[in-house]
Amino acid sequence: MNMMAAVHDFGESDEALDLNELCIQHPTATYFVRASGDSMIDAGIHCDDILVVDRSIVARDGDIVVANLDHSFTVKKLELSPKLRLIPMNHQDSDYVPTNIDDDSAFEVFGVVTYVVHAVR
Amino acid sequence: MFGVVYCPDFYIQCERIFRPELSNQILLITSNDQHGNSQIITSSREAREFGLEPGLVGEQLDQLLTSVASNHSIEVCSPNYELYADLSSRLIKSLALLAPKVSAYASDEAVLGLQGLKLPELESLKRASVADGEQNTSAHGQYAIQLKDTLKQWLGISAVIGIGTTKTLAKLACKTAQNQAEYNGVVDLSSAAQRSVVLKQIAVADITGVSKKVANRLSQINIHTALELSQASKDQVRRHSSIIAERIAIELSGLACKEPKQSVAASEVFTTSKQIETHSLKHIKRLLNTQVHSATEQLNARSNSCTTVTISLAIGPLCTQQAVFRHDLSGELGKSADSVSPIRQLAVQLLESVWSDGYQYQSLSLSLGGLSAGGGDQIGLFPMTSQRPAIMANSDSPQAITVETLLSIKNSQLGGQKRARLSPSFTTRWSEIARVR
Repeated sequence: MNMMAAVHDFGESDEALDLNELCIQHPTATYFVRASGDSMIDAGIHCDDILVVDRSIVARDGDIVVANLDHSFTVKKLELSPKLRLIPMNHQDSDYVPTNIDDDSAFEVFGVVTYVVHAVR
Repeated sequence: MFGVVYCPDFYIQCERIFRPELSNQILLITSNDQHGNSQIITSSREAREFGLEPGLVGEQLDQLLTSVASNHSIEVCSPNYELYADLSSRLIKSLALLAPKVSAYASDEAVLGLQGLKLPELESLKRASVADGEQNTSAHGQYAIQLKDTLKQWLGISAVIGIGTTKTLAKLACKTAQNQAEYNGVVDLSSAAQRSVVLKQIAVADITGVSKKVANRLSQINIHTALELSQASKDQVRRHSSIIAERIAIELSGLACKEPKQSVAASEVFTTSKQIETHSLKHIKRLLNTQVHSATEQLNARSNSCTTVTISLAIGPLCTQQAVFRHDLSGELGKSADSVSPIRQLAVQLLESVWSDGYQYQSLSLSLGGLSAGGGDQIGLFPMTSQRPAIMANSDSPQAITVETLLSIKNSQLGGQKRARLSPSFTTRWSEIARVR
């Protein structure tokens, strides 16, 4: 019984590893979205993967971001210089081309993708 | 120093976060009234420009919709309380990270205690503002601008913020920020100069806590604006209207009222959402029972006891003044209580008295007031009883605990009822999170 009690104590402890703690630095500013399509496959983002999106991070050049472009969401690599572009990452499909963001497009970074949750089976 | 943070059109903003195609659109959130007619709970600014105002119902609504729809596209949603409750909790948790003290007043409004805001941060803000050539804005005003920007970035929600040396002033500042676009969402009344500019524009009747009757009496002694009230002889104000008006006058002049007996204190609000089977008394009672348990837990966590219990059933958001229709009832416990059973007994009694069959209630809230830590003498709740004259307490500890539940009917129960589209629960269900290409 003593051993059971000891095991129980460990089970109750807060020491267990928590994926939330690893993947979510800012819980109140973090949203989840699901990827569609294969435009970002080279970045390890597959169709139906869940993306952890942190809105509290200021996007830097080269970050993978969820952006709101002309009133719909897209996930792409953000390029800030020499000019503002959204870059798809799929070297096998030449249909995917960078999108130039000009002054008259409605554009906003929704958040920075910090983790990808991918099911392997 | 205090701040009041309010998110205008909160439900509309929540709907738009994950549906960018709805920005700048005419957007209505509707539900069915007791006769099964659809009714506007809340509507976007674009919708209100066409007279599509909250409360509009039935044939009147249908006619207006038909005429507007001939030239414009209109999006109509059912309220997704699960989504709103999650964003409300994110709002309060974010504020807790960004301000020294936070009390939630409603799902879309909170009061911040700014005493203890780190001065080095404030100093650097001050320097930055001088460098920007904005000497007119105080360090607290700069803080509010940053806070507003941060909420927008973190949550995707736009807030308006008022700053003042008393809660009454902060609330008034917040209202001004909401109503007058030229302030860009932040009004700072910490300086006397700015106070007189803003208070001059506010009619006495528009101050929270001033009833029509009191406003009429004040106008007889030539007090028409908030500025005149703040400068009036406090004795004269008390003689001609009420002690409450006198206290508002004192708070407006920048002095916090300290007498707890007259104070109607902040309520700490816990908002959740729940799907229920039907709107039968039996189901609502079961929900109330859960609320009694969680409110009592909060009570015990603070080693408090309470003397009053208030029940509110509403169609539309509670607490905010937007509720289309609501029933409130308060009762006194014989003696102060801190356990489930006496509180439940009174709560159920109250529920049975306010209950009417046939309404599609959308929120149920339970408030425990007269908490012992504050002395047990408080006269009521804020903002549950916004129709009563209210003045806010100077103390930071909440003097009521409110558990609010936003209700939606389980989809399977809708049957043949006419019902608008429900948006996905983007933040609370894995199967409904947003898609990105």
